[in-house]
Amino acid sequence: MSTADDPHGGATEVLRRTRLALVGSPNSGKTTLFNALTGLRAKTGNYPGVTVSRYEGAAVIDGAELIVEDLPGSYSLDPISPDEHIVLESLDPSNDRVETPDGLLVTLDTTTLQRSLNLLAQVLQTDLPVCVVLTFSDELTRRQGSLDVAALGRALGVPTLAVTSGRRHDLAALRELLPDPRAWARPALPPPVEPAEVRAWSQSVLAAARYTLPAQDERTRRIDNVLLHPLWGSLVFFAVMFSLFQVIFTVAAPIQDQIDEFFGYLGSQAQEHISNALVGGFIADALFGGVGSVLVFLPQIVLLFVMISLLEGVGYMSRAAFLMDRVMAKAGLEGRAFVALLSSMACAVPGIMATRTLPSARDRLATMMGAPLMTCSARLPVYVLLVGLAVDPNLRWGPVGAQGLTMFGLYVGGALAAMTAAWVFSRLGRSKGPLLPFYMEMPPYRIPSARSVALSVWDASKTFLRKVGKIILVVTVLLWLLLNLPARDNAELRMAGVNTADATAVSAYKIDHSYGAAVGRGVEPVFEPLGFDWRINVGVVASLSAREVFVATLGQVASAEKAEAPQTALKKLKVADGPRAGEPLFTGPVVAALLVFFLFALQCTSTIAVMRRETGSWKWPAIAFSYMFVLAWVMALLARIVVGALS
Amino acid sequence: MVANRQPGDALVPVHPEAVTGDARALRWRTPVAVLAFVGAVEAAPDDLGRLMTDGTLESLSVEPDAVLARLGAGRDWRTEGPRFRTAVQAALGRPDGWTPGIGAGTGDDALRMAVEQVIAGEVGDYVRSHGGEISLVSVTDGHVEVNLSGACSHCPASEMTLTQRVDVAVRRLYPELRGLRAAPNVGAPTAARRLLGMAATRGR
Repeated sequence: MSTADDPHGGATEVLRRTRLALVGSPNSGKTTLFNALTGLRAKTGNYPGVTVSRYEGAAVIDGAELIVEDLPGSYSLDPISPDEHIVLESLDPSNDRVETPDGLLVTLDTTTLQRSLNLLAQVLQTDLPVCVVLTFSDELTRRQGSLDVAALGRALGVPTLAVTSGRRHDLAALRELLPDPRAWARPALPPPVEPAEVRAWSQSVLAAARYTLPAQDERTRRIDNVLLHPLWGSLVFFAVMFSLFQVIFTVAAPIQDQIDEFFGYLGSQAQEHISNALVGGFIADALFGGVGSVLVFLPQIVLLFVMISLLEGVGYMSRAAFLMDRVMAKAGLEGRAFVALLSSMACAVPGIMATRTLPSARDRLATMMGAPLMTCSARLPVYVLLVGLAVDPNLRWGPVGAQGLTMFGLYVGGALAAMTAAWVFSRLGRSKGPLLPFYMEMPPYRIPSARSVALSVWDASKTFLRKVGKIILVVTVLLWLLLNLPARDNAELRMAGVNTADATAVSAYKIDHSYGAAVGRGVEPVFEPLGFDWRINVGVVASLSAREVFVATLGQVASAEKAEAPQTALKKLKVADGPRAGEPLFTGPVVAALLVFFLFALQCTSTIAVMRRETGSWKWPAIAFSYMFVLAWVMALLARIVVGALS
Repeated sequence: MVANRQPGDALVPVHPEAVTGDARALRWRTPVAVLAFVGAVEAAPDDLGRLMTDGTLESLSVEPDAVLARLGAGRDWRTEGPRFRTAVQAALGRPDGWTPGIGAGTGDDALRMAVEQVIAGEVGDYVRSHGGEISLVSVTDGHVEVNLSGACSHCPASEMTLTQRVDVAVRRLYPELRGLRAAPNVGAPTAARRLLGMAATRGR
């Protein structure tokens, strides 16, 4: 018996802890097993060099702690996608970039056993201790399939057990095996390598295990008849996408209002109770105002992820990808790229990370170059603010409001832009890399576990909150300082002819002569053709860090003019300097230019960072940033000219 | 009875299973009755034949659903396995190239071996777990007679055990089985309650 799991063997504590790794194809129940074994003690990180997330957790068995690693899902050990590369490297003892596990738990979905055995044959070639965990055997039984687990174990020559999620007894049997992988039975002879022999091997193993194929899931078949139908399927798809956004906007709205009010209340309390006007203003405007204006979007992000992970868990996402395959093919991409683009509607960061499932490097890059153009949740507050400024809320045709329609147009525009960009980049890269077959599994419809939904929502919210905490907070604070410094004393104000009794006039003067204003005026030559004045420029420059900051900046600028109602104050803003001085700032053409600018520009440090991590160099983020900036500027100019001519 | 495979056909499905207590032996499971005989092999076609003559293999014998191979002294399966696998798959594709050895047989011999395998295997284990005893009485022209004793002799479920378990298991190894019955003097059915009790546990 191994000594590493002896809780009393004080001296053996220095021995490294037993490492187990989970290997299995996507949807094989691997992550469910991982969660069941490690509870919530998992920590995420990255594999060296590439950004394939690494999930590692501890399982405590009889007082001994084992490390369990959830390797990325892979259909084979042929290193086609980056995920499969990682799995291959992890299982190779001669590769010392990543630690080789002491034992492997291979999850095999019993409803697709035939295909899973190919992966197992490859894994057994590594000659690491293997334990086979059969999943979904309850579903196999329900669908009238059968399998003799003991006979399968004999045929494979390794410990084999069925673990049905939620059955403690099954899990307990597995946990008993875990501490000592060196004691696991090994096959007398590993499976063959040559494909025809592997087929013969798996056929023979299945016959010995008296495996009968499950009947095609009747429920799945009937649902698919509708959902994969060229016409009905597409209709359902658009209905699903439409309701997704309806839910996000309607359900989230009241919660958002409350968050907004809450931060407004905090701000006013701060201003009331802090005697120092500068400090009070800082806390109210920069801290509560800035962070609050961004936290408002948390409900939408949570809702979006609840729905995306529900659709994913139920099994609809792969159908959507299948339906979209033809549309995506027009952009030179495959159906799976759709999932990445759809995720980008929440945030380009998970979208770019989702490109990892794409086997072709060319498709990955093309999708990554397009993904940031999808309308992400960070663009939303900007759009809401600008559309609110320029489009009359009372203008409507029947149930269709002009504001909603503009919003929808912006989303469609983003999607079209993303597809076009992906198409261009995929064309440019055509010579590089072969076209790989589109292979995607249609899992049977399953009821997703609340736990996995909750975990993915938690992950997404955590990322968002961290972004708020780091980038956005820092930038809003910086901005506030820029816009409120240098400090002016009353003598100086009176000299400039400002009525010091009028607080609004004072703050307007301050902001107009701040460092921030100098920055805004400094970049005026760039944005002048688009009709932006220095105040918008400050917002645009600041929003290069994160789009949401634009809202916070304009909020700070406007509240300097009229603190009680920033939205009305914004409407009344006049162009500060230049030939158009005194004219209204937010005219139709200017707002249109701004909207279009935000539609195309890559204003997001997180996206740039994740692109750099995923592609491994600064080249692609630099290309993405430049092409999107040029595109944004040109399109914004066009928008200003066109809207100007129309109105 | 068994046709030779044509080039281009898929390979005969095989996989090895360990033989408890004998590291040099591997039981290569094959489809049932891929060869027309059971028992010792005198000669085999092509490379498998060479493995038999050059001392790589110590012995080779055929079972209803397997080929039992034992390596010569000092050999191990990790080294010899891949070559043997390719050789045995090729040879199984040419069933008439095999020569049965001394004591090998066909027909009823294969059936006898199948019944013995079933009795030694899971089904026998099941009977024994219920305090019963099962033994082969005779095999004649595709008909099998077994004797159930011990707890079985008065068990109302023994008929069901026979037909459902033994019959199915034997037929799996010998599809031409024509009939299987218990030797006379098997206990008569008793209380219906016991029957129900046994029937309920049968499905485990």
